[in-house]
Amino acid sequence: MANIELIKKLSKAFGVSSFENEVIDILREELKGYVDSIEVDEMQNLIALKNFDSPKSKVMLNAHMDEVGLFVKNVTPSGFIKFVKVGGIDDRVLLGKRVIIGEKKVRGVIATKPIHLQKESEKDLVDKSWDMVIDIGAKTKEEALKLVQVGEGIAFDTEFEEIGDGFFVGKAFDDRLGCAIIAEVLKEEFDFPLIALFSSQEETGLRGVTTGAFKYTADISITIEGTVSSDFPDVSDFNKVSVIGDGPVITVKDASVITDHGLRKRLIETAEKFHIPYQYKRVAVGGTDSSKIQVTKEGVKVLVMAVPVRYIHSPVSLFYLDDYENTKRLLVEFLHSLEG
Amino acid sequence: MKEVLEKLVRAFGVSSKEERVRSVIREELSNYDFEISEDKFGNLIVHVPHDGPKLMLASHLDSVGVMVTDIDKNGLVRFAPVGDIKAHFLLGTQILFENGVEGMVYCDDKELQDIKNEHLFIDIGARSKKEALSLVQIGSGGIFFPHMYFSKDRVISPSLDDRIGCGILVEVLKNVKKKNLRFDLYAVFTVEEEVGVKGARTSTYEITPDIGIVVDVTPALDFVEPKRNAIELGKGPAIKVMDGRMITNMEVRETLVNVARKNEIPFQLEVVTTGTTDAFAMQITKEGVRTGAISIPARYIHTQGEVVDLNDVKNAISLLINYIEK
Amino acid sequence: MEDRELLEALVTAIGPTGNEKSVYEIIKKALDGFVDEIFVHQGSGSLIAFKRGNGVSSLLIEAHVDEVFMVVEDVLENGFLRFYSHSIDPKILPGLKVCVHGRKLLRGVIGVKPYHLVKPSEENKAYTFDELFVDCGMTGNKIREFVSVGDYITFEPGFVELQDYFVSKVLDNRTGVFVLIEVLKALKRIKHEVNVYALFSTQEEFTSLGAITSSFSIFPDAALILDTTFAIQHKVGEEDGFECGKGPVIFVGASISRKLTQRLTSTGERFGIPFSYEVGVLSSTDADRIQLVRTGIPTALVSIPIRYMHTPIEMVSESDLEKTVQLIKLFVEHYEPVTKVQNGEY
Repeated sequence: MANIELIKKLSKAFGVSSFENEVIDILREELKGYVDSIEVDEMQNLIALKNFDSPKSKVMLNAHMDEVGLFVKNVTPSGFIKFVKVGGIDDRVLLGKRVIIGEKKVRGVIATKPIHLQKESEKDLVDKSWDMVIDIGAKTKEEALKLVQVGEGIAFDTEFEEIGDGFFVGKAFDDRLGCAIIAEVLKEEFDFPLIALFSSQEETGLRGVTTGAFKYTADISITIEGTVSSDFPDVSDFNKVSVIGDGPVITVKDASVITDHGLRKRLIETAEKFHIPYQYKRVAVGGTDSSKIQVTKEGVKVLVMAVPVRYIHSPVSLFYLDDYENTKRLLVEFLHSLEG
Repeated sequence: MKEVLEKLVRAFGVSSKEERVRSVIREELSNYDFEISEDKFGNLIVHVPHDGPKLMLASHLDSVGVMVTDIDKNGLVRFAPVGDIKAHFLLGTQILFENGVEGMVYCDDKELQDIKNEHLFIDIGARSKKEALSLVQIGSGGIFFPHMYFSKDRVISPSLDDRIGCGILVEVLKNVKKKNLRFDLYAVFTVEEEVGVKGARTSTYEITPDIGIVVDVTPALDFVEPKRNAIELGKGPAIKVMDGRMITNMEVRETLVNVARKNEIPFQLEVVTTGTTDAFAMQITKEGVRTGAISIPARYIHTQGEVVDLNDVKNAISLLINYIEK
Repeated sequence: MEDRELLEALVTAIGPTGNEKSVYEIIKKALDGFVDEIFVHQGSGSLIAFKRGNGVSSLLIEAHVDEVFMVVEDVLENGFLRFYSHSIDPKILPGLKVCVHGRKLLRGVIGVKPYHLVKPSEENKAYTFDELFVDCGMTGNKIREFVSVGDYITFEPGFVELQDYFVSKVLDNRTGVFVLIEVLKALKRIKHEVNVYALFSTQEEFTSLGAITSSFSIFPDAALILDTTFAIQHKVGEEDGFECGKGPVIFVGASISRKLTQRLTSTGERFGIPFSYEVGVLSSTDADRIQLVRTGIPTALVSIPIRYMHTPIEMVSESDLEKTVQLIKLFVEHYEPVTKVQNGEY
C-alpha cells in the first residue's frame, strides 16, 4: 500500500535545487530505524546505507530531491521581485501562478497583465521570464528586502490533493515520487549492501549525483524517476513517451544514457513473473542522474524506472496511484531477485 | 589490413552492443602474447607490459545506429538514433538489426521538407504489430547495412568510424616489436563513444595512463568548393590540434609531428570546429592525461557510405608504431 | 595603483588556451621570494604556487591564465589564412590587427572589402568566420614556411589608460591573475592559518582542464575562484551587468557553497569593502566544475566587472582591482575554515 501521507509531505516540501533541506529532514525522519547510517555530503545529497559491510555486490537506489523553481535575482524600487529560472521551465506556465519564497515561506504571485488591457498585438506574444515579476505585496524595495533575500529559492505553491479516482495532483512529483518509493523500499530487508542516494541539484544539470556516486560507488544502480507522460489527445502514439495507467516506465535509451541490456531484461522478466504491468519509454528524451552514475570511476551498470507523470516541470503535475504502487512493487521484486 | 577491416565492419556493434566486435578483435589477437581483459563496462583492454610511462591508445568499438523504442499498430518500427545521425542520412537507407532482420527507413512524405528523426520509421516487412514484435524487440539495435566497396585506394563503407581506428590498433599491436617499446602499453577498444565518450571515461580512470593517443576519424570537407577545413583524403593521417571540444597536449602533438617528419611519413594537422573523440574524456580524467590524437580523414561520417583513403591508414599505422617504439 | 607594471606585463603577455606557458615567467618572477613552492601541474600544464600557513586546512585560490584565441584552420593558396574561434564574436574582427604565432611571430590584419565595392545587399549582413581572412603580407609559398594549420592567432597587445580605467585584451582573466599575485605577496607580511594553493589554471575558455584536474590533484578543503563578469556598458543594462567602480561581484547560486560565500560577504561588510551580488544558477566559470571534483569541494566566486568581454578593448576600473585585492587579502587573513564533510579517496 502506498504511503500517501509520505508522498504528500514530500510533494509539499520546499526543495528548489540547492535548497533541499526540508526534503532531507522528511526523509531522515522517515528512514530512522530502517537503515544503518544516514549522512549528508558536500553537495547536500542525502545518503543512506543498509548492510554496507556485506561482501555482496553493491546496489544503489537513486532519486533526486530537488524540484524546478526560481531564484530571487533582485528587487525593483517598487518592491517587486525579479527572478531567474532554475531547471527547465517553459516560460508559458509562469504567468498568474502562486509561489512560495525562501525559508520564511513568503507568499507571492507572478504578475500578469489583465486580458482586458492587452492590445490585439500583445495577445499572441510570449512573455519572457526575465520580464516577469513576483508581487509579494510589498510597496517598496526596503519593505521587500525585509521579507526576502537575494538568491533565495522560490517554489510553486501547489496543494496536494486527490482528484478523480486514484489520481493525485501536486507539485514536484518529479522526483519526490522516486524519493517516496525508495524510502518505502528501504523499510524492507535485503541481503546485499544498499546505498540510497537522494541527490541534490539534478535539475540544474545532474550535479549532486556526481559527488554522491564518487563517494559510494555501487556495482549496479537503479534510478527511480517521475517521467514525462505526454498522453494527450493531439499527440501521436509514438510521441506519447509514456501513458498514465500503463504502469512503471522502463527506459531503454534517453538523451543521456542507454540502460544496461542484461539488467533490463531481468527487470522485464520480473515484471512478467509477478504480472506487474509495465511500459517502455517510447521517446528517447530527457536526461537522468543514471548517466552520471554510469561513468563514475570504473563504471556502474544502470537502470532507469519511472512513474509516469503528466505536466512535469510545471506548477501542477498529476500521477495515478496504481502506477506508483506498481513501480514500487516492481522495484521490490526486482531487488529480491538479486538476492542469493 | 583489408581483411581485418572487413571483419570489423561486418561485425554488428551499435553503442552498448559491441560484443561481436570485441570477439573479432580477440580472435585477431589470439595468437599473440598479450594480456587481454574486459572491464565491467565492456571495454576491451590489451596490455603489453614494458618499462616506461603508461601509454593508453584508444579507438572505439561502437558505431552509430538505431535502437527500437516502439512498434506502432501497423507493425512499423519506431526508433531512437544512437549517436549523432541526421534524419536526411537515415531516410531511404537499409538497416540491419542485431538478429539479422532488415528494414527500410522512411517517413510520411509531407515531412520531407523539414525532416527530423522523430518522423522516421523502419519497415521490416511485418504485416502486423504482433508479427513485428516476433521479429524485433524494444531495445533491439540496428546499424546501416554494412556494404563495403573497395576502389583502388579507398573504401566506401558504413562504420569506418571507428572500425578503421580499431583496425589500426590491431595492426599496430601485431607489428610492434615489444623489445623496442618505450612505453608500458595499453590498447583500449572502448564502448559507447558515440553516446557520450563513456567507455573512455571509465577505462582511463582504471588504467590511469600518463599519456593517451586516440585513433578515430575526422571530417574531411575536401569535396566542397571552397574547402571548409584543411583536411583532405590522401594527404596522410591528421595529427589533431583541436576539435569542437578540446585541444590536444602540445608536447604529445609535437612529438607525433617530429616522428612523422623524421620517418618521412606524410601527415596533416587537424583543426575542426565540431565533433570530438574519446580524447576529450581521457584528457580530463583524474589528475589529467597528456592526450593527443591521430585522425583518419573521412568523408560523409555517420552515413551509410563513409569514405577513407587506405594510404592514410597505412601511414597512420606507421606513425603510431614509430611513436611507440624507440 | 601599485604594481601597475605587473598588470601591464600580464595583459600584454600572450597565453592562449592550450599554450599558456609564456605568462608563467611573469608570474614566477613576481612571486619570487613570496611563496614556498611553485611548480607546473603535469596533467594540465597549470601553474601552482603554495604558501604555507600556520594551520591544517587548505584553501585553493584559482584564476585562469588562458586568453581567448583564434586558430588557423587553413593556409590558402594565395597566402591568406582561414581561421576560427570558439569564443570571439566575428563581428569585432574586420579591420583588426592580430598576432599569428607560427614558427616565428607574424603580424597580420583581418582585412575586408573596401566600402566602395560593398553592395547595398551585403551591407546589412554581419561578417562570419567563413568570410574573414588574415593577411600577413606573404605569398602562399612564403607563409607556409612559418604558419601551419593549428597555429594560434591572438589579439595584438596594447595597454591603455582611460581616466580611471585600464583598457587591454585579456583582462578576462589576467586581472584575476593579478589579484591572486597581489594577495600572495601580501600574505608574506601577514599571519595566516590556512595553507594557500594558488592555481593559475589552463584552458578555462574551452574545457576547464586546468581547474578540474588540478583540483582533483590538490583536493583542497575549499576553493575561491577569481574571474570576471559583465559590467554595465552600452547595450548591457542592470539586468545583466554590474557598475564599474562599485567593487567586486560575489556570485550567489547553485554552484557555490553558501557557507563559504558568507565568509566572503562577512569580510566585505566587516572591513567596509563594497561589493554586489550576482545571482544565477550556474556561473559559467571554473567554480561550476571545481564544486563537483571527487566528493565535492565548497566553492565561492568573486568576479571583477569588465566591459566589452572577449575583445581587445576589455575595460576595468582601477578601483575595482584594488578593492578586490583588499577583499581577498582580508578574507584569507581572517579565514575560518568551512569543514569539508569528508575525505575523498580514489
